[in-house]
Amino acid sequence: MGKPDISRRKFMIQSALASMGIVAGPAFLQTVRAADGKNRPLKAAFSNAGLQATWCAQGKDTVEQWGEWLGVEIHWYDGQLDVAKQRAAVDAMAAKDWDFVAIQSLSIGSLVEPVQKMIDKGIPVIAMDTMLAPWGKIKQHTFIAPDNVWMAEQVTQALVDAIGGKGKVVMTQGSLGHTGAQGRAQGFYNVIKRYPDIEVIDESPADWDVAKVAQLWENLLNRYKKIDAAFFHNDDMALAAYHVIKNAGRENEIVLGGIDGMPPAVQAVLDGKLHATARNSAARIHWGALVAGYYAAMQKEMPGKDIPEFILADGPAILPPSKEKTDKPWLLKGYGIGAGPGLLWQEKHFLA
Amino acid sequence: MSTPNDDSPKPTPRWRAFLAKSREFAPVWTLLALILFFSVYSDSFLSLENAANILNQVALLAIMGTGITFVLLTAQIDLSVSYMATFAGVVAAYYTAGHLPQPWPIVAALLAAGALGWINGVGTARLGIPSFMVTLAMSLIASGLSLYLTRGRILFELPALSETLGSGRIFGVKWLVIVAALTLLVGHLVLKYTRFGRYVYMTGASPKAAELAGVNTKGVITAVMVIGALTAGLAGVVGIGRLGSATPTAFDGMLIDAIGAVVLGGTSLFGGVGGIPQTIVGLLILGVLRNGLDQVSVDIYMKTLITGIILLAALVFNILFAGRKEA
Repeated sequence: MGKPDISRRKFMIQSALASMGIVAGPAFLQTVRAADGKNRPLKAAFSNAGLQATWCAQGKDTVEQWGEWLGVEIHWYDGQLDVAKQRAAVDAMAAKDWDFVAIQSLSIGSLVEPVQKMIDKGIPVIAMDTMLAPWGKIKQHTFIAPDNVWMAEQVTQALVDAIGGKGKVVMTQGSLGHTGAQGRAQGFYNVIKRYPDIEVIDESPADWDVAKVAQLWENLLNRYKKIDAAFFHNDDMALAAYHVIKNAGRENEIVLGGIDGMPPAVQAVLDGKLHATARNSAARIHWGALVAGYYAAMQKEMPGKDIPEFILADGPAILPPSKEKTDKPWLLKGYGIGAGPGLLWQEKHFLA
Repeated sequence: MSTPNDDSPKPTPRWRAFLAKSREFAPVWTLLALILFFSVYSDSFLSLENAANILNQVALLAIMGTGITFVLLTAQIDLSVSYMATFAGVVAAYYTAGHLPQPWPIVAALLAAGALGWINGVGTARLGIPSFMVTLAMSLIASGLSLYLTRGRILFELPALSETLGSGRIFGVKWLVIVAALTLLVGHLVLKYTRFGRYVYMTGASPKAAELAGVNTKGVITAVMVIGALTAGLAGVVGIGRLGSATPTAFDGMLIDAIGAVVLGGTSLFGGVGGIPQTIVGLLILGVLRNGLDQVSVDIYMKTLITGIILLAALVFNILFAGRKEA
């Protein structure tokens, strides 16, 4: 067996270079990948309430599209509309390493332990839509959410205007323990309390469940021979109630409004089935979280220093187009066209 | 020394016979008590319009409950029925949106539900897995399929037949109620007047005795699981017409109500006792309770608690009045 044709010094130098290459190579590649954005160098985990909800499904589609644009590999942990299941999913998420994570918690405080574990590992955690914990309890990267009170105020005001500030009004609530539902109820009452001639005749919850809405509204239509307006905590419930009301032949009597501004509801406003909705932008919240995470990972933005603790994901109120004819459309709300058609386009393209 | 009179059977006193009969009708007394209560405390409860309303509201549960009655009578349980209803509704809407000619989307929905029911039956009867576990797994499969097909979206394009049966009327009566009544009637006739119906009771009362008598108990259990799935599928197909849309969770929440109504009426969870008339009473108890609470002014934060208390009271009353027979 012959002696290898290599000196000890040469071997040492080559070994050192090879070791450096092994260590530095992936880092270099990652930088290059980050620059071209095609090979998904960043890994992010997302979890929202449950993909059975149209709002959440829209959020997931948005994140995946934006992830593709920005070169972020998205891993999804479905909350399945169940606090315990989401906790298990986020526990699994916390067992891995991520460049950043974004979570819409089903319930405040239910995910604190795994979230804290990720924060301790230096992973930026972005809260979406619902707070992860009471203010100050955990150091989340930022919190991106809509203003539930504002949205409810806009829709309720539109309903009140439509019935001339007096009459019998129903509020069909989401789940009573849900902070979004509580904010929407608050916004509803902020407006209603200014109108003494309005009587709130029912405020039963339907728990976001369209089957429960159908049953509740069949009973309400039987119990009350006159209902002037109804405010629903989301559009799915409003559309389910519209179907029941239409079957009862009372669709021209009751003015309906919801929240979320999902495409079927926006179309229903344009078609005159709903009077108003307000956009709770699943797209803005989800891509906002993705972009915040991207900057945290790539630019090392620090919470409280480079990014504020709360970012409002606002969305417009969607009302029917103005019937007024004018040559000065800039004097009309929404240029007389309203936000509907533009919003539909934006939703289709994962923007709003 | 005994006299001839001592040996002859003593006639049952009338009051005892009446009591015995009354016990059989314990759920009916519960129902009447609820009707009386809500009639007193609500102005809008006791009306023909509201009676029709209650029938509309229990109709889907009735369709689903017919199948559950078969399943419970064999001492099995099906925890996947409500998810199968959702799944069938989604399949019907999915293929309608995909422009499959009618009525094939509905046929596909019922076949799909029936196939899942058959898997439940094979798992339970042939493989010996407890029906609780098989159907629990099946509930996840059905739910997952619904989610996969909808991608979390709501489907608004529905079969015309679903819309007619779910929301249409004939001579002022909702088709939904007619479909429910026919389903209950067929279920009753099968259980009461067919050999298969007797096998269902025998399998539930004592599977070993049934087998010794030559009953194919495995076949019976598989068949009732398929029947449970088909009625759930029918409820889903009609239900989407009632709601005007198919969502990936539309009927999931009906599981407890559907099983609860059947048990509340007096069908035993342990098999062999009960039937469609009992299911009808149970459905009406639940329907009256849910409807009645919406007709009286109740603190919304108390409504769920009150519903639970009244349901528990009704069950306790049924059991006490029935002499703890089925406790």
